[in-house]
Amino acid sequence: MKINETTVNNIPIIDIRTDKFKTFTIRISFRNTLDEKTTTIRNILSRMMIKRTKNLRTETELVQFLAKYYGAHLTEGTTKRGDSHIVNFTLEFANERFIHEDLNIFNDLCEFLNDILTTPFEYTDEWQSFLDQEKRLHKNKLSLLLDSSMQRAYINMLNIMFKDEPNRHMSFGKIDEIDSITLEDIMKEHKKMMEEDEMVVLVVGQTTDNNIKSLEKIYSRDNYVKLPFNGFNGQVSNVINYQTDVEKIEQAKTILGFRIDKKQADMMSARIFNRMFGGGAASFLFMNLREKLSLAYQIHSELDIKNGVLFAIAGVDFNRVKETEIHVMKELEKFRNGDFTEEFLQESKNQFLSARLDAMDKPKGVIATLYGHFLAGIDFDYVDEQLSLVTKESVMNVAKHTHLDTVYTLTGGESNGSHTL
Amino acid sequence: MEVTHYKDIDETVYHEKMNNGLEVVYIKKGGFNKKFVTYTTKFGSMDNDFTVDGIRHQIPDGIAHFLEHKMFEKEDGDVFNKFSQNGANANAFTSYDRTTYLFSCTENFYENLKLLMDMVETPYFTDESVKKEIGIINEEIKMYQDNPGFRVYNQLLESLYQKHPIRIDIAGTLESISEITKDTLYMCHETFYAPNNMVMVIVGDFDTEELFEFIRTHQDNRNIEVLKEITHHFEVEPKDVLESVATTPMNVSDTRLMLGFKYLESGEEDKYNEAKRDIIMMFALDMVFGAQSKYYYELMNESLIDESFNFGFSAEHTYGHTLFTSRGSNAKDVVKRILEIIEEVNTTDYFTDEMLLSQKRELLGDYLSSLDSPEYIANQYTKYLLDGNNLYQVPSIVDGITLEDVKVTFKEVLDPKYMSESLIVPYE
Repeated sequence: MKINETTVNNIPIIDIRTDKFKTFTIRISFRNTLDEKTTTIRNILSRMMIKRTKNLRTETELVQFLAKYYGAHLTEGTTKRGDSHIVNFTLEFANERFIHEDLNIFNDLCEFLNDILTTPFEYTDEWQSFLDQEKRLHKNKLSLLLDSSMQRAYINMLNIMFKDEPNRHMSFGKIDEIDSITLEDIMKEHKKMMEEDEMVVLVVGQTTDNNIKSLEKIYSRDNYVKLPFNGFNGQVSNVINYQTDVEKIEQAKTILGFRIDKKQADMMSARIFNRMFGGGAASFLFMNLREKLSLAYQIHSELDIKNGVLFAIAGVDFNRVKETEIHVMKELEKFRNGDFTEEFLQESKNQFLSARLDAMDKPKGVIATLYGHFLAGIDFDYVDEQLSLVTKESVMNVAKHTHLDTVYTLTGGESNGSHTL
Repeated sequence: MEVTHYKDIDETVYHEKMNNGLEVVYIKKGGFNKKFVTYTTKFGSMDNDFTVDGIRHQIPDGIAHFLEHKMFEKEDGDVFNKFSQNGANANAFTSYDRTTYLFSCTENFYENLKLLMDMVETPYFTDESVKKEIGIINEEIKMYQDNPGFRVYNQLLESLYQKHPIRIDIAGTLESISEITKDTLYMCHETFYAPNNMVMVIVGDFDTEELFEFIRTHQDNRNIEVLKEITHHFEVEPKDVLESVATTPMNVSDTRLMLGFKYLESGEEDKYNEAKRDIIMMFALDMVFGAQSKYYYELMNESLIDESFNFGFSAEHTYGHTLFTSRGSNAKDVVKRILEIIEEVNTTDYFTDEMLLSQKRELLGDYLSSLDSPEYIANQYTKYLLDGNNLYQVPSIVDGITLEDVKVTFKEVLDPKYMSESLIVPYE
């Protein structure tokens, strides 16, 4: 695998050349500060951008065009990373090498991507019904998401834990903001995104120099845009928030939200700590709460290190919520006290490396890893070096600076008094 | 050892049957770091009534899944932990007709392979550990009970089928799993985990001879009795559905609809034609209801459907159904329109050569993309193999599909006489 970073038309291009895939994947990422006012608009905009263009005037035409290129897949998605909101467009398609038809797939699809980005729309009234439809569809997508009781619990948790902090916003926006979005909002945000967002093009596959030349057709900018990449600065508090909501559900979903003091804990040690604490089937939460105590079927922890946040998430019996909380804290205490082996630490570091190799076997995994490196301004050697510096003491140090902030429970039974600890 | 090179897609497959009957397949993926192994027994949730050694066994629902959970626990601790110590990720899943154990790793491959084989081949159950597992699985069952997508699907299968065990949840119920004992587990293991009832698929970049020699030596040392003949008992499933409409209220924002058309094979199809029929139905459904069709946009513009609208066809020897899922308060209108569209397609010249060509191209593109994934290859190769087919035959199956095949199959499979609606509605 050969990685080559260049700048073309004022846009950074990351070419990841490998012959192990039978496909090409091109990802175009746009990044800007997460802003409550524009998150929902950016979601509707990106949906509209991949459905119609000035040359392919209807969704049917566009889908048929992609089908001709052996079912090329164009998708959009938004994510939150640190204090940034990212809009991704991803195009996956077969390498011509395996196709017995004379098609210049790579080049044609780069031209198509230009069409997508410079799309749409005259933004005249005739596009109103298109916007209305996308608003309806996005609204349905969000309400569908909320049909998951775990997702409802998670969103409630964010709203309680990050009351006035922007970190409470989800990458996909808010359902009650959709109605008021106008074509003008979309037009303005489109213009802003194309001019002011940090834009990167990544490509993975058996690329050739000719392919890279074709990438020039995707877009051209007047200026090179590089934005700062930071996390939110949440404050560690001494008071723990508790909230329990009751709904008609079969199983309680309980989430413990922790804040990690980023000034005191190093990022790589936090990653390894999360693996050991609740990151997988060998973690303390899984082994002790699920396998030994049969407390939960679902139990794991998630880390957002850029923002200094850790969640322990469990689906448990109504009557065992408090017990779960106590045991999660007991497991955390073990890490604070260094009650874990050097072998387990080493295994977790090896797993980290193994997960990275694993990611390098998937086109999207390669792209996600390399985009992460691009944002942080690091490379594989740097990551390896940081990993080698993780010790038992540095993991204990992360655990010591991990503070319980909020305990949120969505339950179907009576609250069992989770108000003190 | 049999070696097959598929030139068009540049894939090589090695196949060998071990002395004890275990089938081993190795698919080489040059340059990949990841090594992926599946070890599968033909024992799934449907196998709850069978005769072996002249004795008929009717076992509790959910036992195959229960056994899958229990196989990870041994006298000297949890095997998950050991995989993890060797840098591997292990998992397992149970479906209607099989249970698969798997791991992936980028290092210590042979240690992990031995661990997988030992784990699957050597059972260890105690009364105490069985009791403990009931608690975990009960939470798993409850987790699914909170999932509207799962509930609407299960309710539909319960309505479509009268007797077939597919109508029973793979995990069973709290009542059924409470009946499980260690003795039943040992009996099921002895019967279904015999080497000649199992398949191993390995995907990665290995020295072929070293790999096969390792497995051969391990299997030859097992000294296991094989070839127990298993007779499965299935009650004959009537063509008619059990219920035409079933409704459950849940905590959802809008009504969920799953519409099902039951389809039972009239005679025994050969395996190749079954695989072909599955692809034909995939094409036909996509041509009529997919994002390239006019009907999709009609439904969309009438606000009858949203992006959650989906469809699919699934069939084996003893069962078969086409499913449509949709969401919204207008479920009745959606059903009406789907039936009208089916009628219109069957009575006009709807399907065209151009549509079929487009489907074929799309499928080949998706297929090539799937072959970039060792997980996909291992899981799908196993599925095709157990169904008596070959994943790498897909391009040639696709080649042979005609417009007439599409017309005939679409009409035959979607018969409104055998239809059920499953609805999950918001609480009033």
